[in-house]
Amino acid sequence: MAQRMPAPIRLRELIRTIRTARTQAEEREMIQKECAAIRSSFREEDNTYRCRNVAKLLYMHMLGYPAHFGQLECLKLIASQKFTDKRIGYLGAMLLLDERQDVHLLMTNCIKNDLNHSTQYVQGLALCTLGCMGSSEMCRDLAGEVEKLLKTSNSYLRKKAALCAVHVIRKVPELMEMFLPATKNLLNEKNHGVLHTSVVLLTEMCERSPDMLAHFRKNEKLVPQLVRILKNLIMSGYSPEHDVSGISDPFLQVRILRLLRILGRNDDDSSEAMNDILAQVATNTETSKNVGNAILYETVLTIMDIKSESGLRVLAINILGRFLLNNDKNIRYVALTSLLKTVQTDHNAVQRHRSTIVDCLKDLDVSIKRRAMELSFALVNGNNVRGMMKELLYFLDSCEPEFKADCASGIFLAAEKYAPSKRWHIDTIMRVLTTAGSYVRDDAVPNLIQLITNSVEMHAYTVQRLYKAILGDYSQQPLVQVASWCIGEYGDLLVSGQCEEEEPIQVTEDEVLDILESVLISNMSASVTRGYALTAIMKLSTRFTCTVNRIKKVVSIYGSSIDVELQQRAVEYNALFKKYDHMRPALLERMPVMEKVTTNGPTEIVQTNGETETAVLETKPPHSGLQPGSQANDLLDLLGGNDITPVIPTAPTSKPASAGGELLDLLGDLNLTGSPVSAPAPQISQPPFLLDGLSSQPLFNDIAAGIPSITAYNKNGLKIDFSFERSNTNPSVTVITIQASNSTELDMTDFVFQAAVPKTFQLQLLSPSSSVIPAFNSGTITQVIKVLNPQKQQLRMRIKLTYNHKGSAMQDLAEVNNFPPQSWQ
Amino acid sequence: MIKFFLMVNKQGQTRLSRYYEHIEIHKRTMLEAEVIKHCLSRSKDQCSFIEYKDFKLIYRQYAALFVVVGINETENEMAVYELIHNFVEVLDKYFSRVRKREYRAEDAVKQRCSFSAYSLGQHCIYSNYYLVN
Repeated sequence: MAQRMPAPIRLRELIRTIRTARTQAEEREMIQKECAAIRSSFREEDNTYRCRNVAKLLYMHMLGYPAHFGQLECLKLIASQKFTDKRIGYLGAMLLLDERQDVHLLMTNCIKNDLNHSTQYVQGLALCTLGCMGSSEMCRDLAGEVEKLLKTSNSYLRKKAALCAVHVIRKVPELMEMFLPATKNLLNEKNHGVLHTSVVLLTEMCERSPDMLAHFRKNEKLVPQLVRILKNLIMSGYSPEHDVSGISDPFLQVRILRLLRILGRNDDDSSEAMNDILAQVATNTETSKNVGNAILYETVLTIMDIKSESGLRVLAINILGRFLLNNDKNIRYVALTSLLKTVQTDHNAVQRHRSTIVDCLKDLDVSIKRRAMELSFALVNGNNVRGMMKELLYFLDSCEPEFKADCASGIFLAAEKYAPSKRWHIDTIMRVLTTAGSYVRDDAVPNLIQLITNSVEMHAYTVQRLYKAILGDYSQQPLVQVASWCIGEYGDLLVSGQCEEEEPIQVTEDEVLDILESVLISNMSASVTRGYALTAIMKLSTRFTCTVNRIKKVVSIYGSSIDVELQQRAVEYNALFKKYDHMRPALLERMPVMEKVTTNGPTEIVQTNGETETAVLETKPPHSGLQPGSQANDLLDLLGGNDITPVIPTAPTSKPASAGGELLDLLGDLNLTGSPVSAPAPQISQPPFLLDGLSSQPLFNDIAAGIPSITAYNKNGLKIDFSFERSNTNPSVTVITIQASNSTELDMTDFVFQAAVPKTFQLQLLSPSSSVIPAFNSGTITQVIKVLNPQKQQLRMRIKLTYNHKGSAMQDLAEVNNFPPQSWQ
Repeated sequence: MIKFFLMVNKQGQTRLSRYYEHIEIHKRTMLEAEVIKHCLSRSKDQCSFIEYKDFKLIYRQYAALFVVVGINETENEMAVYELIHNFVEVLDKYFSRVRKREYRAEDAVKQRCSFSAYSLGQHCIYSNYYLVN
């Protein structure tokens, strides 16, 4: 026979013992020992001490140790007749059991019996447990009992039944109607407990079902009843039973206000009925203690949510303003939260409190700071943007890192919307980049670049400031990326010291290259940043005059870089130096101004032409109805035409032969060689390009040609030759390369070639290689024209030439009719 | 909606815990440890509402005991703040000198039972502390 175990220790002993444990391991040991004892005790089916053991088990469960083996024991306790057993059993059921365990269904019968027990406390226990963890099956079975108890006169039971009903409705929404008749009289009770729980029940019903909500509004006249109860609460004198710091039952008041909010939302009649009481509560409640403020807070929330009259709303916002001035942090926090909710609808009213809100930015508390920051951003408008930005920038300086990213993004957005001047905008961006440079989000960089490009007159100033910023410190990646890009684009402005806005600094080309090279070499630079730097160096090869060799050297070094991205770029740039040097200037020239388009619609891009930013390629209005339009790039209405990004022939230089075909592939999705600088920028404005592949100067392997070239113009020493190529993949496209040469003894400068074609054609002119034709035929200007000829009509063209020669401006018009048939058939 | 109700002492030992949503047992201990860490790191002049993950914590310190309630956004924070105080007063009345003694062991069970009666399923039933079972 197994020996009788000694009586298990009481719960309090256990707790004392556990508290003496000094380490986690000791505690675990004690608990395991006790668990073992409990388990053997359970096995013995010992009725006397079951209650005690389960209590201990529950305590251990609370500390975080597994206790599932006690579940069945809980059931046995529930089934027992002793109240103390039942009590622990139900408690255990609430804590250990839930729908996931199949065991819980066994409880249903017990609960049913206990719901009909003679003692109210037992009934109460059963209701409690059902309301805590009843599953949907249990609720379905027992809903009838609960409903019956909801109608009793015993207030102790009534309030528990109401809460149990809430749980039943949550689990089985279809049963909601069953409880409807019982709710009729609930609010007539005097007992606050019943009132409170009834309000909870009504709230739950109204939230779940719009039909119920409508029903309560119209038929039950719920609002007047609630108003009456609330009024009694406020007006009644001191009642010791319900008093909390001088206010009578604030919890009930808050609940009623919340229900009123639900009833009044979007409903004029109800809102009107409650206007008075809300005003009364708002004005009469004592604000010296937290309780009063809690009620006021709920009132304000209700006022803002229903269709209240404007006077009431102003009252609410004033209350919030008062809260803001309160010293108590909790109240300030709550005020800021509510103001954030209301700023959309009552913007002006909230603006009045702007200075207080801005002060909250300096608060020590993190939650308050965050709220104040969000609210400040919501309050920025055209009038206060300068002042607000100053505060926000100061905040950005001093705030915790977790805020910096959000703050930076917020500042960018606000600056974009409300910037009073371009210079201010750029200064603000610079400030953000320098203070919180590493927290700026990645998508901000292309947006910034676009912004800088578009502020044409600020280029010199911007590049100078950016240069100075990274001179000292080039660890903040977004800053370095933007700076490298700008230096690459506007390096010539930097070196020539053209800045108007501030003192121009003296920088040599070598110094600029020094800094870019350090970025390349530095360990702190991310791969993307290095890409930016390399591309910038490459672009400078056309803008700088004395350091081209150095640039060539740098680029060739990276041709064997481990980073594949860098390597590809370097190799392609190298190829550009070696084989396509004549195209280099055209490829690397200044980026045009970009329009910011949010949709993929047609864009209007002004194409730039070398140093003069705005050479618009016009077409003359011809008598034969040639193509009008001031933008030469409206080819097919789809193209941005901004293809002069440093796009490298995407075919790697190992297979030049096929490159021609690929490049002429109109529908190619040839990626713009991972030059993220150029990619995001044009892609903001561009839809799928049709002439993607043709964007780079195509390799005119003469294999594809075989079309004879013509002399289109020859006068006054200026000769223009056309040579042709047809695309293999798209026969409607003809690519014409013009070569302009000058046989006089003086150079022709500022040469601009313009062309127009008949209406059925479409034309795109790419940038020329330069605008100076040297004398004595010692060099030529090359330019590419793409003609789309879908109807295969005979190609005709009118050309206009303007240039400076021998000190005077020359201009000429001509028509070109001698296109060979192979060029258009 | 109240998600959980905790009473934890300064050393991180849980004195009372009541969860109204299902959370696995080992996650509970982690949650409690993190919560108490947050509360301990607050200074006296910071507000009692902490934004934690996707819900809010409201805490109140009574000598060596922290009472922490986790709520979602539908609750009135200040009302819950009052509720905490109310509950502690109830315990005080019932078990005497709760704050001082961090209450005694044998009261633990009674106290949990009473708490369950006090707040049935995420809602506070009453403020009338004479009627606590």
